[in-house]
Amino acid sequence: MDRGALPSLTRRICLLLQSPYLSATLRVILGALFVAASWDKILHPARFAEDVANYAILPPLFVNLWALILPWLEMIAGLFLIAGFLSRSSSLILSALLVSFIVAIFINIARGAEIDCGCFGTGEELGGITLLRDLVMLAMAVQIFFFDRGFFAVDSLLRERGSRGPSASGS
Amino acid sequence: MQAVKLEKKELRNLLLGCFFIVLLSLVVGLGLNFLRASPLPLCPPFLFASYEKIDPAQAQKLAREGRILFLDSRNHLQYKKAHLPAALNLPVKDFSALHPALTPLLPENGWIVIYGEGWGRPTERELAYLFRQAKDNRIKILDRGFRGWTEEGYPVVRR
Repeated sequence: MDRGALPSLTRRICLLLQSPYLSATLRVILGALFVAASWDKILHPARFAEDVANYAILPPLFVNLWALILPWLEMIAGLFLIAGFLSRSSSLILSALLVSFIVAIFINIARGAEIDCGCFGTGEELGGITLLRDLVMLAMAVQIFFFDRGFFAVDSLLRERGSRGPSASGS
Repeated sequence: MQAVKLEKKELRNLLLGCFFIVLLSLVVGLGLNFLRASPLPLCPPFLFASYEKIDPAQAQKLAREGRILFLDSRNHLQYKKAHLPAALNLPVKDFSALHPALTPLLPENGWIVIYGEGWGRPTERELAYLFRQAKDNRIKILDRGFRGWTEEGYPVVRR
């Protein structure tokens, strides 16, 4: 067995995981996932409020407020990620949301609650798959937060304009 | 020193970006809800209504006399797992469809006693509110819900 193969393979995997091109791809995938997830919630806020209430984590006073704001957080942060506008802030917000989802799902699985996930519309029961999917999405958001360099992103265009601006006026 | 300044600037931009996204979501979410034909109330109205409560011992006594109709406000799965004897399942979302069919089943000079899980989502209050909206005031809420009933050791029907 080639002893040098394993470290080299590990190094390659590490480089791939830190790749800004991977970040650009993940931005589009994660953004699209959140836009898709938010759509049904935006169209049917009362049904989504029921799903939030069934988790039995938020005090009932805040359930409707959360059910009205959360889908738009997902939609706006998702669209911003796809466009590459405020990418790091968007990925930070989505990471925080995903952590809260993971905690809520874990608590309800531990309780043995048989409730609707409410993740991408109705009809999906809470389970290990839901938890795993959210963990993968969290990993994607973290990768974007740390390694995104703004390829194919509005942020880069704005930065370029900003850096050109003063010199152009000075010349 | 330069690096620290840059980091501070980055952190400030990061937090400002987060604040902007949250504020935009808040304005769009609440604004569009306000424009809807039937907006979702920001604070659920059932939370502020007061309901008459009945403790498990008294409910058991009246149930023996046939003066109570128990309504289980939890979902179908929770009801199937275990419920009070002779209780009917009426989840909140099915109220408008099933309420007319309930009227002939209600005991004369009796009460409808609604119960929920006893913790978490207050489905019993939500259902009681819907009864009150439908001008049906013969309702009481079982104190401490299904949990209180089982803790007192009263019988339940299990799957």
